Amino acid sequence: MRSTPGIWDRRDVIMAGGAAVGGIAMSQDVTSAWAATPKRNYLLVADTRIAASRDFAVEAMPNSERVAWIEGDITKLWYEELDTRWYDEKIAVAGLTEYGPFFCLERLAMDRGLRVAFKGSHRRDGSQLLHLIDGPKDVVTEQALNALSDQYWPAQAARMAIASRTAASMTSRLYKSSSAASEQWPLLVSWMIMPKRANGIRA
Amino acid sequence: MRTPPGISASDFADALARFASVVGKDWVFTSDEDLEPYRDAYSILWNEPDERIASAAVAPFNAEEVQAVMRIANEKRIPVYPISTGKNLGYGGAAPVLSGSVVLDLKRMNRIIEIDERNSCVLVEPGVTYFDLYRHIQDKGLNLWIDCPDPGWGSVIGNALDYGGGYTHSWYRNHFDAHCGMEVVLANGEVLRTGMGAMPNAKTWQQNKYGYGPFVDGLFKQSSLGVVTKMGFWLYPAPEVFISGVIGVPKKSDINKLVDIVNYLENTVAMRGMPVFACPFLPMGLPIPQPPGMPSADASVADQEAYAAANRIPYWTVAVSYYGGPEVVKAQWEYTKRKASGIAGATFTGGEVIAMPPKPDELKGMLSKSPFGIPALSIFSIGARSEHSDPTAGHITCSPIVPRTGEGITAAYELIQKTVTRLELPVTVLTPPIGCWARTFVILIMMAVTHDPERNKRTRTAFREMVKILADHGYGEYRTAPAFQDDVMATYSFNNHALKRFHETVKDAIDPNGIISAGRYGVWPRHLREKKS
Repeated sequence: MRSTPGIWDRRDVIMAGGAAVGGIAMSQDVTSAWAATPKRNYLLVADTRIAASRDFAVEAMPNSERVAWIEGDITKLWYEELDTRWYDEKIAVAGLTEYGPFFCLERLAMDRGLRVAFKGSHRRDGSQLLHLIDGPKDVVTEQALNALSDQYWPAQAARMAIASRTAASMTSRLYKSSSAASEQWPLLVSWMIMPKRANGIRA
Repeated sequence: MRTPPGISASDFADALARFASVVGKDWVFTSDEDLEPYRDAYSILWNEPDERIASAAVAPFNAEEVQAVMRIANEKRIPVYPISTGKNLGYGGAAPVLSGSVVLDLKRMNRIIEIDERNSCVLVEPGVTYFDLYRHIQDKGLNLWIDCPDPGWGSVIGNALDYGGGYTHSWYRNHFDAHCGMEVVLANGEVLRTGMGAMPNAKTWQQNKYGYGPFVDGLFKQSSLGVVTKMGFWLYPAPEVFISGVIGVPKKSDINKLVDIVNYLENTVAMRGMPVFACPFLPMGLPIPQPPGMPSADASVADQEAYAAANRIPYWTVAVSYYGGPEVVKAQWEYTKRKASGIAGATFTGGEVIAMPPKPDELKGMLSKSPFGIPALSIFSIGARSEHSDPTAGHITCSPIVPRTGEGITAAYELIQKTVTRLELPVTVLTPPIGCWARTFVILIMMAVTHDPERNKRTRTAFREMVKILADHGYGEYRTAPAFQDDVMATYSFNNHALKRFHETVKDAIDPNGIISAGRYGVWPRHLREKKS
């Protein structure tokens, strides 16, 4: 694994995340939304230190512009890219990170006319993970939530986050997973930030 | 649609339409989603009926639009709450103090109007962030530094007006003190300039603070008297090198001499970097795991000092730093060592000369780059890992100003520890004494906000009690969250609240309809004072 944050290509991501997330069955409703998702116009943010973050990136990368790697701090991403880019081009951004990077990007995005279209809080609760998901109702379904129940939950969170780009209405669900909480992170967040309006219409 | 207090829906709709005619309809926000950024993400009143919520937000593009908006608001008696970027988390964020106010969001006014490398000063609008100013200086290749807070995402003007502080040379760390000249739009839409700027075509607006006649700039600090639309600042000419050293002393009581020496060095301009004091035995210190066997804050001083001696760690340390030319700062460090060597057992480490600007590998691994005037967001990567609080709910901070003496520190921490324990305040971080401003320390007592209204209610009650107790002992807050601004103002009560009454007199004269930032820092306009009484 590279030791410093930067821009990785797909090969790096796969090496970092392993092939563990490959071949996971995708729930049908998310599959439909996934298929309808616009391609290659979102940026991925992933944290090199967090396995779940790398797994999210592996799953979401095929439709992404690229991955911006961080180590808990989005200063470089903000200063070198988004601060200027979001004035001219409100590119969507997605990822699975600690709460801090998400919080910064959420606040900065709201200042520039973007919104959080999907937010999954994955909180360690003893030996389990408690998933609290906010997203469009046609994405955050019982079937989709059930797929969060195993070790491949980051990949499912990625599918739901990316699929949220095509839906508008928000709903909220609570789901207690049976996943083993193996990582040291007490709270992780999967998210999709996207333009509030596209061509004058709420995206 | 939410409406401002006392304003009918039809009058408000009319005002919004007129605002839109000034700024454009895309820059008037009324939907819940559009108003979400104007909630205080760290509110101790989150989701409670008393949470401070805006009725709308308006984002003008320039001072002329601000004037037009203010004229409409004044005519229609619409309360407005100006923000620069609304990033003072823990102190209210972008939310108004008076629910129902229209947030006047100045983020689009983000122009760096003039920057003067030879005189090291700049004139900016409120939407200019520390990142913006830093980028501008880098892009232009100017030999200047900024002094930024941590995090550095906020407004240069907003931070200064809220009495924020930074981390470089002491002439620049006090951001309000480092300003020079303002442009202010008053409630009636009139625009004034302070200092030399009051003279048309002034050539020294950003070089001379005082101009002619009474100095009024302080009226606009933590204020509800006007909308600051431009402000000048003195910048730091980039120093050639930086030195940081650490002085350690073995005994608890050594802090008395140590602070005096640091004060002397600062006040004689021999040491102008920010002194950073630390002690491993401070009560409820930063949530860093302590080594096994280390005495707690409650242990006897003898046990603590014995542990420190056995493990060859100082009881107190202070990191001192110097900026300037290499000949000067080396001499200053040597002078510092000579002055502090009078404390028995004092140790000195560091003192390496680092050429400025620092190289990337020198910055790597540093959590904060603020001592080099480089803005960052890395501080958020600490709080998010806290096991002691919910990072999604934020914190509030009790921030007493305490004397710059060792005895002052000792007395303040004893009081704070006793009070926090008795009131069961949910303290997550209690900082060492922070020396960002000359002549005093500030201690930050950070407390967790939750999403549980009952817990937040208990915290509010205890926080208010803490403010009173600190004030009874002579320690005043320098700023606070909106929920406590009346409580803190009530502690500045000399001569039957003469200062507050003066503020109210000025408020009523300058803003007779009471439309600007009602209630900010405990100053309410006449009609709302009468309603409250």
